Amino acid sequence: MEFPESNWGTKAVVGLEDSPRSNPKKRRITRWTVAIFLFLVATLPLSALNFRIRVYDPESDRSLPDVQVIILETKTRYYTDQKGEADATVPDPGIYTFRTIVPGGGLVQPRLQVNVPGQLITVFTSEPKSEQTRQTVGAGGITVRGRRDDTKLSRYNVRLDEIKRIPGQFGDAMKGLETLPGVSPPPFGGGDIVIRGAEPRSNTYLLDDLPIGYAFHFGGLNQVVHNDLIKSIDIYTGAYPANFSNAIGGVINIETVDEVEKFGGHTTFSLWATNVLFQAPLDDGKGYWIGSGRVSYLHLVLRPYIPDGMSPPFYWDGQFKIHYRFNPEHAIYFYFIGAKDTFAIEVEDTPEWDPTNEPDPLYIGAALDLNAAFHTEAVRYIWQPASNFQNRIDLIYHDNISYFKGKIGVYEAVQSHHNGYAAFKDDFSWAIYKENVILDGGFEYRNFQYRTNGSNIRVIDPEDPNPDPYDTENPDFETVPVDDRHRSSYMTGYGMLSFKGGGLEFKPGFRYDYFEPTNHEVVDPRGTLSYTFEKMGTTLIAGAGTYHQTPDPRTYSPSSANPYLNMEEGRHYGIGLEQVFLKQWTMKLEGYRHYFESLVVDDPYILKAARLREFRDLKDVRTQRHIDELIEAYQEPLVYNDRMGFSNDGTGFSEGYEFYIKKNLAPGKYGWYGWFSYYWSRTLYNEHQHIISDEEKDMVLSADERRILNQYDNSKDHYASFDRTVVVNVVLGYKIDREWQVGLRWNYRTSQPYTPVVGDDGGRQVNHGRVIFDPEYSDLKYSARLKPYHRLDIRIDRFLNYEWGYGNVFVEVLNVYLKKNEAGLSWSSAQPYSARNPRTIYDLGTLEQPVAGGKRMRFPLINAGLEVKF
Amino acid sequence: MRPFHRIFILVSAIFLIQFVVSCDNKENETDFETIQILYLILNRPTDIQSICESSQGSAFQCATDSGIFGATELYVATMESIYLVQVGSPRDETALCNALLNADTFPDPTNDGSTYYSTGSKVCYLNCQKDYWDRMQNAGNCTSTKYPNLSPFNDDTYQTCLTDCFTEGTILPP
Repeated sequence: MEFPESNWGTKAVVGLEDSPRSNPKKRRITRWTVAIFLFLVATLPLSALNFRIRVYDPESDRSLPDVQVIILETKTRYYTDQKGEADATVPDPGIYTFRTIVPGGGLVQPRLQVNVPGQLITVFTSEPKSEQTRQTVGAGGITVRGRRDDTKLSRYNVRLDEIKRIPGQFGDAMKGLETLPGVSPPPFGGGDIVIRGAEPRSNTYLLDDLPIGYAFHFGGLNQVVHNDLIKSIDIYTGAYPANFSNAIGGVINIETVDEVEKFGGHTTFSLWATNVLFQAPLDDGKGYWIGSGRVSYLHLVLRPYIPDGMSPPFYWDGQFKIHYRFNPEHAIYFYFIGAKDTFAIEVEDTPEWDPTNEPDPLYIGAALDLNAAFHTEAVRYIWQPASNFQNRIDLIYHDNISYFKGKIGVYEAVQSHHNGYAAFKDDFSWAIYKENVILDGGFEYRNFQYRTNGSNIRVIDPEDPNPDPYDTENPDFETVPVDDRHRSSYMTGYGMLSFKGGGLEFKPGFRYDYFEPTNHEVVDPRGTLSYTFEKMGTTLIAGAGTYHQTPDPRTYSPSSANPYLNMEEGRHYGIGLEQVFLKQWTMKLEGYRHYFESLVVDDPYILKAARLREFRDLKDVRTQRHIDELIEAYQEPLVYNDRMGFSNDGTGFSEGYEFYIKKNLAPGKYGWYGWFSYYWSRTLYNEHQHIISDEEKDMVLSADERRILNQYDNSKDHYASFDRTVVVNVVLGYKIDREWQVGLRWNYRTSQPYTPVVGDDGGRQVNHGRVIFDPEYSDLKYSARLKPYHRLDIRIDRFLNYEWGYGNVFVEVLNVYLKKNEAGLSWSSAQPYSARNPRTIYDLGTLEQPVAGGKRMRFPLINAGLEVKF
Repeated sequence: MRPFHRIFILVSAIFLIQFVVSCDNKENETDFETIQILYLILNRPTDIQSICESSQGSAFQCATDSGIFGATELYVATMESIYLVQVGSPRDETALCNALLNADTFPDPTNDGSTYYSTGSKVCYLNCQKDYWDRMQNAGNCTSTKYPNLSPFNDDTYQTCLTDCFTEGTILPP
């Protein structure tokens, strides 16, 4: 059962009868105070405890008479009158449980807050309609507004129960985002998503508005957040409001559970990992705690089948949240979110001299050790002095940690990397005039803390199409020591006004961003405009906005990259139509065009005239290499014409349209639900670098002449590597009864483009005695595509209901009609270019078994699992 | 007008102005790359004839200083055979450069069959040759005994000079 939200996902706090409206003197003081200090509103007195309960059915759009409501804490029972209301009394202000027997035998028991005498508490018998996320209570009609209705354009909200059991995603709710319009999976994305043509790194994932370092564990095997910690997910695919920062693509905002009535938990077992969640209320319902986590054991399960030298992925994650409400005005939250992934592989040189059995010669002798982790800790304080004002303060510490050790050919690089920030953040929301004029604002100060040490390997001649990592006499690569430790500031603030009335809704806003390393300062306008024809249920929507995102710290490293990089920019334009019909159906049609500017791209030509060499602290000098570097730094403190490797030269745009139709089903109801989405798009990028022509290959130029020539931007727009022209998703679920549920998902998508291989280099490189053939690519970048991808998955859930909860045994059948989907092309460095090299590789959606006659029988991949909720 | 209304109008006005006005303090900043490239273009070598004559002048000087009879003519003849050119009379630096700068063949630094040599690439050769002959002069190698063994093509420093000029070297100031 879902209930209306107050801002930022906290439990709804209903209005106050003794509002400023009933006391003019207090109203003036309050508004003056707010005007002066923006987020200070006089605290209003709380007194009487007689109030009214209303039981309301959103589906029939009426209040229900003769319904029994029991307040569990006081053990008192009430029945609604013909108006659907009842008088009730509680001894003290506070949060109470309203157990309500719904006509037809259903039960809902929301926890709602009683603040003042005369207050009208509304109990919804089912999920309110998506736009009804506000609650009007009390004689004053003061509204507590949910942020969820902040924007209609390019926003899709999905509840956990809608996406958790989508077939083919191994139970991970967040993978269900791929089924929404405007979203597509990148090639080898490992769970990442592309939103309207923006690179995956341009999206931001937030959990209760807090940062998470990455959304999926290694290879997309699992998400990093426990399913049952999630309450719902908002995905903003474009023109999103000013309260979101530092993303030029899309925003995925995960809202966690914010209500715990009793001790309980949840656990799921699968072949490669187990997760568990525990939760319990605190201090008679004044708060709660939730702890959840997951640990993988893939490395144990697969141990007998894994070759020596390979350590399969091992990962864990954990989330912990505490909430405590001191009184109706003051509440506090504590958060911990963290995850860690490890993976290692080493390809030993065990000569068989059989190219068909040996690993690719490119990797013989190669090794990779990869660790990634992140953690976020936060304290959140919410002050709600009145129903029309709320202020939230966050103290956040977030760190992304990675360790990389790699070896290929004669080169070896080791790098450890910390990239995080400490932040202070304040957000407020003030309903200036009922629900018609609302002001949202806030600011954030981040202190980026960035630390990298180790070494980078980079190619010496950027125009060498096949640099040889195995050549020791004339090396094609160089090792660049990296030792960066710096802090920098990022400041951001926003304001957003919402005007509503007569079906018209206008939300102008702006966002200010300041990026200290380059003193880059921007003010971005953003806004949406919509008009709803109430009788027809039709809404016309349009929106636009400018967005900025700070570059990856690796690319603005002062010692090995370009410290002059500016923020990347995105401009979003969107227009759409939303139609609600038959109460449970929603249809949406949207068109968009997004521009991307100042994108950070690899730039082998950009130079820095001179820079001061990095001096390692004496306390950090531990090896002979450190000593040599230090001596070199003292002898030659300046480096001239150093290559910086990255520039802001990239541009791109994406355009497309989306169609979405959804059949809703309220939680706790039986029947069918689902959605159909169709997404057409094209995404073009341009790195604006110089592409060497055939004529230039025959020219002998001095280094300076080549520098001049390299400024000639002759690169052309090309399809993005993740471009997919058409993506279609059909998701259907049918809740038969308390014990059975079935679902299907059909997905169709155009394959991503690739650059055709047109030849090889003749085998110029040799590794451990084996000749390596490097592919030569066509000049027509990303000009070919594989065949379209489509498959059907089904899932059957059997629920075993008990007094303490339920057990759920589920079976998923992937790729039911055995489509052999092409996943990409694989180049073997052991062989020259031929009709068989490169060869097509296929998706893992089917299994094959040899049968008599030398044939192979294919059958669908089947996944089963057990879920227990108590 | 009530204070609240004034504040409301003020706040709304600020928002509407911000909504239509965007700013980016980097839009009007000078492009770092463009400055570098303008510098390179403005300072690129143009008077290749003078550069050539200066370079060959150093070679002639070394030949003259060796005291070997006909050393200068021998040098010109050697250049004719390497570059497949015919040097007119008088067979001095100017005549040699007139021939060299229009030579169909030019030493190929990469030996990969390159066919086109830019002005800058020729300047690389000429400057490195001048550097070589000047070094020989300063090192006292332009003598009758040592001169016959001198050749820039066997000199590591000359090769390094060429490599630098063709890959990393620049006239960009530090």
